[in-house]
Amino acid sequence: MSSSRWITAPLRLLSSVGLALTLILLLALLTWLGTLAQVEHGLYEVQRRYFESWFVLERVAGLPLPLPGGQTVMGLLFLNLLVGGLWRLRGRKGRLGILVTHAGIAGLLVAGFVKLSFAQDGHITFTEGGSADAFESYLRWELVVARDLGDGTRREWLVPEEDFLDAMPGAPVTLGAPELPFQLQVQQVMRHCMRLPKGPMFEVDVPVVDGWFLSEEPRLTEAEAEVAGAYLSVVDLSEGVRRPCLLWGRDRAPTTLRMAGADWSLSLRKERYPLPFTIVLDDFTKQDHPRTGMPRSFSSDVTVVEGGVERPVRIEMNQPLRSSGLVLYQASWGPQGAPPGTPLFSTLAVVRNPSDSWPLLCCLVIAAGLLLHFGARLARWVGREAATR
Amino acid sequence: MARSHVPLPLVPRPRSGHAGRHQLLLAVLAAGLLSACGESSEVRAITVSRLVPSGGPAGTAHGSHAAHAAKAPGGLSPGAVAAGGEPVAGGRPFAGAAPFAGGAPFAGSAPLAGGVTPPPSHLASGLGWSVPAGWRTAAERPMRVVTLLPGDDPDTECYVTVLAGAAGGARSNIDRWCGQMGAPPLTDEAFAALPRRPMLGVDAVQVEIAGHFSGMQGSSVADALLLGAVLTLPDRSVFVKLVGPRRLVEPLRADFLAFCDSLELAPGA
Repeated sequence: MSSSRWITAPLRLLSSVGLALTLILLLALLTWLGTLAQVEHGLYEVQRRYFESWFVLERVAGLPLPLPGGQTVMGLLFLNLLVGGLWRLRGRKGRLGILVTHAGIAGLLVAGFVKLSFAQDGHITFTEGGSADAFESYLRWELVVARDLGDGTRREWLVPEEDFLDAMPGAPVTLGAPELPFQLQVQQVMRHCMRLPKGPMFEVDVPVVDGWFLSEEPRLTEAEAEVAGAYLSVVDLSEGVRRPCLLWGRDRAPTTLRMAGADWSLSLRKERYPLPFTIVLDDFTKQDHPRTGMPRSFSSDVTVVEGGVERPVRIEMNQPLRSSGLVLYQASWGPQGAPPGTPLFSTLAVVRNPSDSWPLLCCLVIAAGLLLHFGARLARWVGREAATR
Repeated sequence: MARSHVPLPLVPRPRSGHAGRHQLLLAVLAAGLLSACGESSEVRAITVSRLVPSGGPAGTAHGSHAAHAAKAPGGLSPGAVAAGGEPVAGGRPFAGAAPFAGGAPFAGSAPLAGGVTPPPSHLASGLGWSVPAGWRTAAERPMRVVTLLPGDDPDTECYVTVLAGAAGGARSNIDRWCGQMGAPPLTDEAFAALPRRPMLGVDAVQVEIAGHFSGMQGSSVADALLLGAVLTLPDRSVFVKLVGPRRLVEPLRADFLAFCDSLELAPGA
């Protein structure tokens, strides 16, 4: 095989319509399998397993069926579009429109990849009069070591969940920082558990710390409802003393300790992302359908304080707030079924997505490409018809 | 943002030759095996830190929010609570504070699907509590702050309801419970003789009623026992009720009282 064929053969394969069709069918298969699995495993787990993975091992009638994961399929589809557009359409006049359309579709895939890799999403939940300067993840956890500096500020050391979730009995994870006089040795993490008091009438097979233990619960299909917990030891670096500690995601207060002449706190909480502004909920309004308890609409009147400037904004269904690269949607409210007069809370879904507007732009590019292509064909046909008459 | 674990220790690349490649392969395999077994001596560096105001919670909702301290105390002290975005409560060094424990965390709703995203239940009702050992929290139910299941029996449940105002008062609600148990309403003397127990800063009326329970949802339990507590706060009434077969409920008296004692109002609530 000549050296040029070593180059052109893979390019032909990568740009083939057959490959595109195969990838689209694989994507449909993953979507179908994921839809079936979601009943039992929940949306988050299915997304992670089928669409945010490179490889999936499915079981069909007890037999393993290896499949490419969503990232693999969409990555190859992107290459197929790119190479197909550039390679197969090279030098052909009148194919500019198709090239533009290919670029638009490829852009959609890139937008999806950017969102997967760089987006942050979470929520703000508050009642009237409340304010927030950060939003909280629905799913991701973080370990936090904090120390009050005494000047109105607090320093927080943050450990993302990837750095401690894999801790297990017999294989602990040790965390440290140069500024900390101690290390954290995470011995066990439970993705969903309850913190319970240890009574005298029963025994447990997990450590009991100061009369409390973590009771592991079955995983939930709604991952955002899970409450994580962790057993860890605080290892004093100067004395070598180990102090057992138990953290739970719903603790009402952090665990405090004194070490090296300073007060420290430890907590396990949902990951927080600072906002570039402060948002204050001035008024939450809910309207029900007449003579029913079904909500018709709900909206939040907020004040956005940024750079010392306050501006009132109404956030309601289909009218989000877009500011500083963030989008805040009116997502929900509660408590449902509350008696009249109960203070209601408003939940705003917050998304920081660098590619937020890319899908719209890509759709415009696709439309432009189709217009260009079919417009050119129409022009050629009209020209031929005129020439024959 | 794509994240990755701390990588395996770097292995110097040999200059050339098959022997060098074999050494490289062995070194990588050895590093992989070492990293996979037992307690790793590797310390994962905490690389992310930030400054936040310490006058309130680190972020999320704060202010006059019922579930959060208006202003957390500056500085930390052993046994006190750091301003970590959580309500102020007593903390114990190394053991964590009294846990929030319970509530129905987001049960039955998908926040992004337009359903309810319930915050911690003390946010919803202004109450906090501790779940007794061996009890578990059931899925959220309408009109209930929390439903707890002491065991596997589906007919035995304990739940808390909060209604605005006096909600008819303790007497009328206890009489309603008597009706559910197939028992006659209490006389004035019997009601006055009911024990009182301090709960949420007021005296709650306690009651025990035996009989045939007929629930509002059509459930029916023969030879049932109901343990209840009713208290009236300035703006709301709180009802705590444990009901189920007598043989299952009687051993739960202490747990029920402990649960009642654990009820507390969130700051600002």
